[in-house]
Amino acid sequence: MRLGMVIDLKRCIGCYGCQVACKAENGTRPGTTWARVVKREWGEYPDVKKLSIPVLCMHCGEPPCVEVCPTGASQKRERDGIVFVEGDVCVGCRACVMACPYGARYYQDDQSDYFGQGENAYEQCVYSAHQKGVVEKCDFCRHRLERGEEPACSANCMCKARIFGDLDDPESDVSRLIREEGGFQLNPELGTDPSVWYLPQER
Amino acid sequence: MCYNQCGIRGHRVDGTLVKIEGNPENPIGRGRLCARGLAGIQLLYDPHRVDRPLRRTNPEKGIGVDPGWEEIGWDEALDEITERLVRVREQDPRGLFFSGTVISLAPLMHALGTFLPAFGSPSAFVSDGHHCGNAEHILARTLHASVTTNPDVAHCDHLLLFGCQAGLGTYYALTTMAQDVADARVRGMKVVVVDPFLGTAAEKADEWVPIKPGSDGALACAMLHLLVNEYRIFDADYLRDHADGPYLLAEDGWYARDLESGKPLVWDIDAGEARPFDAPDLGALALEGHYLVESTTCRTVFQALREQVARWTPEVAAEATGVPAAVIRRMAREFGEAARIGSTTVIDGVELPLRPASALYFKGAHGHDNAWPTSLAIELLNEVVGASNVPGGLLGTNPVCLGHPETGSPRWQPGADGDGLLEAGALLYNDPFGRSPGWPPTPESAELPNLRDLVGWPITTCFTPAALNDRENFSFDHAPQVLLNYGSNLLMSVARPEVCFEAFRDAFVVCVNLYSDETAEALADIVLPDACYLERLDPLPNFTRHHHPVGMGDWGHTIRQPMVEPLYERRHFSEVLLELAHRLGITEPMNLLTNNLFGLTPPHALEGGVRYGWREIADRAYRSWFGDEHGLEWFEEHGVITWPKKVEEVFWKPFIHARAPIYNEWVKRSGEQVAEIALDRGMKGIDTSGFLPLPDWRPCRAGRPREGYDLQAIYYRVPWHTFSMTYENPWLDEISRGEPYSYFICINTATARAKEIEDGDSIEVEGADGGTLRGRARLTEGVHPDVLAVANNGGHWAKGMPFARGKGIFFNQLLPMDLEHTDLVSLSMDCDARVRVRKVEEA
Amino acid sequence: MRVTVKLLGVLGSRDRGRSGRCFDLTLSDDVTAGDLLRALADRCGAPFRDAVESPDGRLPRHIRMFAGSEMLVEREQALAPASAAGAGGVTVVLLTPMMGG
Repeated sequence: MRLGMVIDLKRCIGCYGCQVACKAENGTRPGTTWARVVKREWGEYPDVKKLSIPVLCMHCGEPPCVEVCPTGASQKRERDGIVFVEGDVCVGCRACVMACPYGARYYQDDQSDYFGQGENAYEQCVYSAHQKGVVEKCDFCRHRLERGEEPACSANCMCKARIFGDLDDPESDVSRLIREEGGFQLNPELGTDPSVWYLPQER
Repeated sequence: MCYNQCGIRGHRVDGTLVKIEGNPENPIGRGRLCARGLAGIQLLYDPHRVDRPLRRTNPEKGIGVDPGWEEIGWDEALDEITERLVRVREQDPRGLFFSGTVISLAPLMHALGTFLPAFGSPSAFVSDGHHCGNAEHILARTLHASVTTNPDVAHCDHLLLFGCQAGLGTYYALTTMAQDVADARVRGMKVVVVDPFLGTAAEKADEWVPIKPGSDGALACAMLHLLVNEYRIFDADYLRDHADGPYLLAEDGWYARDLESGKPLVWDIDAGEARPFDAPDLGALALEGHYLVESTTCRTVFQALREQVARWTPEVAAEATGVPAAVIRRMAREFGEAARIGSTTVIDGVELPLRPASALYFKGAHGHDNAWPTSLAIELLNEVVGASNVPGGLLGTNPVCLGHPETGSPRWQPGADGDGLLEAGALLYNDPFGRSPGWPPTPESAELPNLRDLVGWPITTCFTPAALNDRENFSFDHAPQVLLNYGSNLLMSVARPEVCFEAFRDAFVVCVNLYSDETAEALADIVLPDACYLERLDPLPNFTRHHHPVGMGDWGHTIRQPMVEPLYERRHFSEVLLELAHRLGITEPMNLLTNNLFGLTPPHALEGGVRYGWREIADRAYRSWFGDEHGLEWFEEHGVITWPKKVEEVFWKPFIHARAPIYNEWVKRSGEQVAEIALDRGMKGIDTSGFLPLPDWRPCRAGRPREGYDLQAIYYRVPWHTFSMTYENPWLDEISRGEPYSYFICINTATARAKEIEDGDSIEVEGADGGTLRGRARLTEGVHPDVLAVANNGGHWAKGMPFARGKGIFFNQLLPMDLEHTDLVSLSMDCDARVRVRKVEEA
Repeated sequence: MRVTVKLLGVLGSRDRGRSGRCFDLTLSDDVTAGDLLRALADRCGAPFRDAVESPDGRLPRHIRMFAGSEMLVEREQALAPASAAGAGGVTVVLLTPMMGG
């Protein structure tokens, strides 16, 4: 099984719901946005185009972050291809942060809270699941997968622009969409072979 | 977190709320939320929330002046408030003014529907209606028998949006509409967005039509002209049988009426004479033409519309809008052809007209002082092609409900008035009569600062502060003694802050609020700590239907129950109202009005002056609607009750015969009555020339050229902010900081460079009607060259909102609020400004 | 019979009957809701005056009439003597769209 995601750029409206859904699910600190959105604009008035591109860890088939990790903390799971960080093993060298071409990894040094007044009750509860001095990233919500639920970002997307499934199964929704709707990866020339695919905005 | 009140679920760990997510069992959202809804936790646990009652120690009130808050106890606060209210009630209850925020809709309605009338005050206003749907609500009622509208995207092929982002970032029932609009677009629905700014909706559009702000009405008039005059694409059957198209108009602009019955006349072609519209055995009716009736030349309503829009050639409209004439021609043709006039579809075994084209508009298009005729012009695009209240077209928000299968409640439906015209059923509440008050409007006088007696039909009357500042011009014989403000940040949300400050500076002000915001800081004597939506019980928070999605699907009613008990000393405003009512001795009328609000009948009705708790009232409301098996306890456990909509509820047109009024006699009548009242009382500035029964267009104030001020400044909406409160939310602020536009002033690249402004430069925007904005320029191709665009509701300055302070740009300081900038029909306002811009040095 | 009437939600100036105003009317023993409406029109003028002209058999849409806590619907409905003269009296509510309905 190779778990992957398809993000339909025609459906996506760039509302940042995924960014906050991920944060709400995983209780990440300020500045750590495992899911985020990149915005682009091109053309000349009045023929202008804008595009919102949600990005997250690509769970690459050939992950550079795993390659550079000196401790083996950064791993790719055999059974489903999820790339994750074993926090107890990570020493925070940040080689992976530099190696990742998609900016998907976040070093946890700045232990700031959101309001700058000390952690509120919510933050006290959720930040305890995170370690200081290590690198964190999206793990396709492993804890939800164990419960039979899809990742929070795709479960919540109000345009249903994120579809999650098994790329190794040719009849899965993700495989079918990639095949039929002209799916593409970001920066394939880097040889990373992402598990996150995109469907074109124009089709 | 916003007006839409989507269905949510919360997860707690050891009493702490750790996650909010959508509720998949609730048709409002179907389990998915926008960024705002997901971020609610940071509202709950924001350390800057008002946690205890506050009293001002600094007697000097002023914008940005430190009130010197001291914390006091609830009893002390309520004692003082009660004393003031008792005094006001004895002297003149009209001295209690009330304003509230629609975000917190349930408690707001509770106050408006029970406490205020029980107290005896008519002086309520909702502060931000002119930034919202004031004009749209009127036509949602007259043409769609509802309060709001949404297109039936499930069957739509062509969606034309004017200054609106339905399902594409904002607007009603967003979380459900977003799913449906995405589905429709993937299916092939084309989206055309008319907007000065390339925002969220235009980004997804198949075509972005940049337009000069406030000129959407001209574009719509030209499209109407092309459809009904040049292309002759219109739904004759619809106009003749389901609208007042065939009604005859006399030269004086009134319906020609039967002398005996008073009924509007139509021209019976077979009989060769004018007959009442409801005469038995009518022959074929004329839809167009001029006819002689009792030696008066009359024309049909449709003929009048044709003649009215005839001057709006594409060339004339191109001049007004900046949209090329060829584009206008193409837009009209595409819209008309997409409507597939004459086609039908079958839904649940019922054959219905299919008109898969919808034109929709909202604040961007009608937030101007030409709001009424603009809105009318755009609505009529749907009417002339018959795309109104049918599959694929523009629907009112659930005008018909036959009730839960077990109880037949709640229940409402439209009917026809004496003239055969569409008349809405209950709008906001479960009205046992199934009818709605307030229509037709009857201007009487100008004695109420909220203008309810003069132009009372806009649901949200927000002109009050401006009227108070212009009191000599009106006939007010009372002034605000007490302002009870439920959460509304008037100073930021209405217009320039001075407008609201001046209006209420001499009043005793009580703000019930989440934060010590700009309004509380400047004006409040007492601030009461409000329980936010996560900390309180509100039965039936979505009321009857206008939060609910349109189209086929399920009805769903839910509960808002506390995810945590109110923290610190926060209290639910509804419970505060009950306490105040008791102290004032008005529990009895309040009970009666509560029965009215929720449509409670025996055995669930509240009795006499018995003091009921809020939970008890909630329980009775649920039982009254859904039976004794579905009381409060059931809802606390199950959360949502659902049942499928019937096709005769959703697409009710074939089942209820009532004609959509294309011609608005009521506006003409109101205009004359208002003019008469104004003349009678020597009022200045009352311009009733905009009370037009058919559409036309003239530029808004900010659209008119002014020497030295070459640009128009507008604000636009982003999907992660709403009203001004969200700027205090750090998860939402985090979005803005990572997003290219929302903390900047957007300016067209070429325009900027011609003024030697580069991306990131500090610039100053000066309003021709006063006010100055400072911010940093973001150069973009995605904005009309004559327009500056700012994201809504930023720029806080209150010390009580330290996280929000200084973030974004405070647009409304460019806006005056006065009769000159107001559309009197709808009490909408020109929400844009004529400005000039220059680069300034960094401070 | 003597009917105690209380007005709620009234718009307009003092002269037209302010909200919360309470007064007694002497009416016939078989007084109906419609009769009371007419009496109010005589005493308080518009908006009751306009209401009297409404055509159908029900009370006008912007007026709610309660005898005690029982809501009256039809103009021909009699005000039960017990409720009218007793503790509840009759409460008449003038509605705006924001208040109900």
